[in-house]
Amino acid sequence: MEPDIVVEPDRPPQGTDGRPALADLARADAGELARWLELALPGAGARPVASFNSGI
Amino acid sequence: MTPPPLTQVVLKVHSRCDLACDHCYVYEHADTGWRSRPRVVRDAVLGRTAERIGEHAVAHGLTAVRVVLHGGEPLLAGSAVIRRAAEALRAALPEVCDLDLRVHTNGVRLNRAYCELFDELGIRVGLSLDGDRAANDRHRRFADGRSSHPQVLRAVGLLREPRFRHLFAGLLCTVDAANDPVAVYRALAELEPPAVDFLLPHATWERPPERPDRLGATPYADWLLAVHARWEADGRPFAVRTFDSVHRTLSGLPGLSEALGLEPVDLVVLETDGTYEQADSLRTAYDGAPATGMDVFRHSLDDVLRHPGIAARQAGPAGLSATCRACPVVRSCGGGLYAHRYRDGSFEHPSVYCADLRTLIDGLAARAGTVARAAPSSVDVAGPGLTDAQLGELALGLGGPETVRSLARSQLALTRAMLAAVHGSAGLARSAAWELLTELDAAAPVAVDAVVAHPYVRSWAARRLTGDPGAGLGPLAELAASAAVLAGRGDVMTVPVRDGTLHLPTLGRLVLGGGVREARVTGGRTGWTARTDDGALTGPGDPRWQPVRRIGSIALEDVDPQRAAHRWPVADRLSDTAYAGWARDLRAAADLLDRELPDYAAGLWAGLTTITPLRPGPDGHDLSSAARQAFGAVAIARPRAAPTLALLLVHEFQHVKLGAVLDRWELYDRTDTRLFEAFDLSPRPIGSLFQAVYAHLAVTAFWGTRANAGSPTARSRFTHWRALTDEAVDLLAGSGALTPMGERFAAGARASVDPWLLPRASREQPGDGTGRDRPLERARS
Repeated sequence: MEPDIVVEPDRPPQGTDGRPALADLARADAGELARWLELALPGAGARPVASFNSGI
Repeated sequence: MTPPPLTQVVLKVHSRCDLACDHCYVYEHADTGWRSRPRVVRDAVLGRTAERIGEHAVAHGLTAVRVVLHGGEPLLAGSAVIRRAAEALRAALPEVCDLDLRVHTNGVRLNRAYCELFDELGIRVGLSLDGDRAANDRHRRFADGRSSHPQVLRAVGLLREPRFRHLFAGLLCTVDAANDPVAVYRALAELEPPAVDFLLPHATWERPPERPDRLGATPYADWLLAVHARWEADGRPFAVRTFDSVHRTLSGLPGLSEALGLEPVDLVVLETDGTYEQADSLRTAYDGAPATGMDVFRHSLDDVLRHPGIAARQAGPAGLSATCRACPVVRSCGGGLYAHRYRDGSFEHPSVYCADLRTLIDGLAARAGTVARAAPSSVDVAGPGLTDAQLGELALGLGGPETVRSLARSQLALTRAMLAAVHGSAGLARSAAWELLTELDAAAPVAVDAVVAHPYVRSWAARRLTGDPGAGLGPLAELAASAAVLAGRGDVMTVPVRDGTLHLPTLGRLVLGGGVREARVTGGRTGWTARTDDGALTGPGDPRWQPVRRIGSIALEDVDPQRAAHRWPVADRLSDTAYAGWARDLRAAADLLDRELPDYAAGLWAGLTTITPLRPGPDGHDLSSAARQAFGAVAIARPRAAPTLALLLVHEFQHVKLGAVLDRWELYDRTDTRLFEAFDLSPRPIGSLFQAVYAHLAVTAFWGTRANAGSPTARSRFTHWRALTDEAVDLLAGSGALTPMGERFAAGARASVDPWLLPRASREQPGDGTGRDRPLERARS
């Protein structure tokens, strides 16, 4: 992988070996994934709160 | 356990209403508190309320507060009161705390003047509408029996105008099981709302909901499932909070409203007389049920937090009845809305809608094929880490190409995990987009990575996972289509056309105009085609195709709708002339950085993938931004001179690097609520101080290097920023908030700044600056 190259398919990413496939990741519970990502994604799995029902 | 702070306030600005809806919980249910309240909120109440919210935000280090102006009918308060409320709230909140200000109205009085006021004050608008005219007229009428439907449609029409569309928060529809669910759904869908929620009419065991025998045992679930079927068949044209909440909770994510899920409720209601109340819906339980006995003049929001009624709604499973705790779907329903559990003086019962909720949740789970999934322990979600030496480089504020590439690989792993969580929580029985993405992930991983690494893929996924109703599922198909195009295997993907535009992230957009709903994109070996649902065949040769333009390998992103992830408004599609100006300036800035700041430039060119042009700042002020959820991108309003662009690039990329570090390592105590003053800015929390220090390591080096070259202007700026950075590093290091890794970074910052404090003759630049990777080289040559 070389994620800094966004749109140049002629520059292949490196290091894809051994990483979890998207299909494998999708077998995980989304809440579990969000908790693992808590540092990167505060609010999704850590300390969510419920919104007011009578407003949108 | 410390209760979570209150971040949502329902502020009643008027206690009466100009409609006489017979299902209204304020006037038609058990509580009669409205009778004794002032009609309009007084200025003294507004002012004290704002102060209370402000002090609570400071005390708890809140970064965002949502206030909903409510009633009665809030527009009866008049524009002057609404203006004073908005201004008082903004003035009382610390600069670091965002105000999400909304108004929820019946729409009858919403006119152009109000829309202009809301635009000026940044107030988003939610409307109540129960569906088509027949459905709406069943309850939502004036006191003399007249329909309110035409007025509400006129109000929605205003909010759909392009000028006001951004103010439109959505529609609230109260369910009446006697209404035709499909007719109600179609009537709402025709209005193209950004979001809808279907509310169960407030009821308790003592005042149960209408359940006509002919409608079966679970009429509300059956009604909602009928709407859901239509919504799915239409491709989910807008967010539906109830359905999204169920899908999310079934997969372990939090629900989206207090009606579903186990999350703590962190809201308080403020009446027009300044008294605090618990949830508004409690009015349905018994007279006086929402009361707290507290008010803004004598009590703080911390006092309110300790009220047992507030605490009860923050207790999660422990606050539920034994029946609920033992129920297999408790994670999704959370016992239902608190008020709906009332019976015999207690809320420790299942919801009066228990059977409906169970049928709804089971029904949606069955349709989605949702199964309980254990998290596979072997999956390394976070991806590859960094070596100790690489962390050492980053601690100095630097980071060579290999180090930045390691950060990028780590970021790609995070984005892939987020995408999986988005798919897993979407409740889709089958997703052709996901199937194609996973197939290509195995067969053409280069193509998938090229798309998934696009900075704004993560920002969309993050919005989706945190419950932003504006983050729909359309981008999943767009990503799959872009990956198919890059893979060139002939794969086909049907992509929804949004606002008349087909978006292919990382590639560009095709402006099709109205009337086209979807396009079948085929990624062939020699290019791509798109067959739109009006039968036309098009491709990259179409004059309406606007490709992403690049300067070297850096995308100048002005077409992806997800790019609006920065704190400033993004620029529209650049003219060819403007693009040429950017290209010229960027090349000049790159030359300058390579020449004068090579240690920073090397990592910058390895990690900067995207520059998003911003609209010019007011009075020509420079604007720039990096977004935590968009690794690899910086957003900049094109400055007047290339050296300024160079400075903004290197400054913002420092934020990008540190953000990626923070995604993996805790550098400071995130519960520390103190504010710190540095860089002549208003007081900021520890995280902002850390970011500011890190960015100004590069700023100091930039001006120091230029000062050394003899520029008098640079010398004065160098002296200025060096002194401020020096002070801020001390402040950071002595904050007492740092983790061991944070202390390592603070020590690195000190090591980076110290050489600039020495006399010029003995000064050496920190770091080894290994490697050069300049993707602009080819473009320059």
